[in-house]
Amino acid sequence: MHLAPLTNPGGELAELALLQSGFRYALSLAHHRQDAEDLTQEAWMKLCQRYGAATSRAALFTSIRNLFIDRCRRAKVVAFDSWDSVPTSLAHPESIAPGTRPDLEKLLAALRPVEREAIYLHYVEGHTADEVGTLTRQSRGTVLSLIHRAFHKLRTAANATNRPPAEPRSTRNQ
Amino acid sequence: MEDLPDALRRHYEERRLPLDRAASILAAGRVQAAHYHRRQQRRWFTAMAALLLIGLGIAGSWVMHSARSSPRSTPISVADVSHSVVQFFAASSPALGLLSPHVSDLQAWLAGKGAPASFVVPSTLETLESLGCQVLDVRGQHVSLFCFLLDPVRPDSTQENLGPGGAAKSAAEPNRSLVHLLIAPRAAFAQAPRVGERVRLAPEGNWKFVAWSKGDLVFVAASEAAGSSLSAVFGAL
Repeated sequence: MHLAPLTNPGGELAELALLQSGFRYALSLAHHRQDAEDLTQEAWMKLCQRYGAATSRAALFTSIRNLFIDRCRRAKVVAFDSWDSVPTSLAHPESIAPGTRPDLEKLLAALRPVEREAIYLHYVEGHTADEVGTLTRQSRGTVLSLIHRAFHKLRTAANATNRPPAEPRSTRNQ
Repeated sequence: MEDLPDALRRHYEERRLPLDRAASILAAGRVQAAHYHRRQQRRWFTAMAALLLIGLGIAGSWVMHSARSSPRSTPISVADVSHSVVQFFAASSPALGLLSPHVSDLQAWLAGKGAPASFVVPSTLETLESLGCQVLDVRGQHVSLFCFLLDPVRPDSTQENLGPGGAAKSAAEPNRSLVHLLIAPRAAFAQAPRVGERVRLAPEGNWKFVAWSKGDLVFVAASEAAGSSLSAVFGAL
């Protein structure tokens, strides 16, 4: 890794940790490595340009989230589904070996960005539903619902991958 | 499948920004931060410059206003003082500010007007009866004017002068029985007579003048009167 001469090694490491954290959050939203890298870079630049530094995790996450929403709106890639139309379980991931990492990758890909975001902030970052609600500007109830639905979808899909191939698949969400 | 929350945590924690990409982002961020700090500095300097300009503008306008509101005073000469008393009495209706036979009253009134008033009346004039006083503005300098009755044996003019409205009347009529004493601070003069020196100024019409200095004051005696009594007074000053 080639960095400029370190004048404040502790600060550099903290910056790097914050950047990596932002990248993981961006990955949870975009679920695409290249997009997540771009989102992180853009958000980081924006904070440095506007405030002279990116020192706050909340500010970085908010910036990444706003950028992601902007991109989605521009590309019209996110459908603002109503809760009724949202599938409650995932399609059966046929080509995944149960319990493997690609398995989880595929399962997460089937979730909506808001669901991935909610479970990332809750299970990975360790935020409470209240904190997730504050970060994502949603009510605690909505956050809890998102976490529950996402987790249910993941568990259902994971269990389905472990079932024998002869077992009939759910047709509800086909 | 392993415990789902743990799997999720591991899944995301294994995802890392490539170090070269992270380094380039951090470096670019530092460049942006440097631009930000330069912008902030420029803004700060601009604000300070604007404040300075506003301050200078306010100070300038205050100076101009004070210069306009207070008449500009320039150093004067003894001739200016003598000329001013001639002009004052040449006016159609010159008015004395206060009429009183007591010099102390006149001094108190002059002190209230900011004119020099704390002085000792020359002994020659002390024997004369005072008539009134006024403050003359000589090129922005305040000059105290005292009028004394040179010839108190002429009661006609005295009685008129002391009555209500008599000031204008007394000053307006060609009263040859008056002798005037003008007093100004020595600092007001560009070239004041030396202390102990008695200067007889060139007459202006019928007016005759004598000037001298005492302490930090300059005195000018002026009169239109003629005759031996004036010569005696002027000679004794």
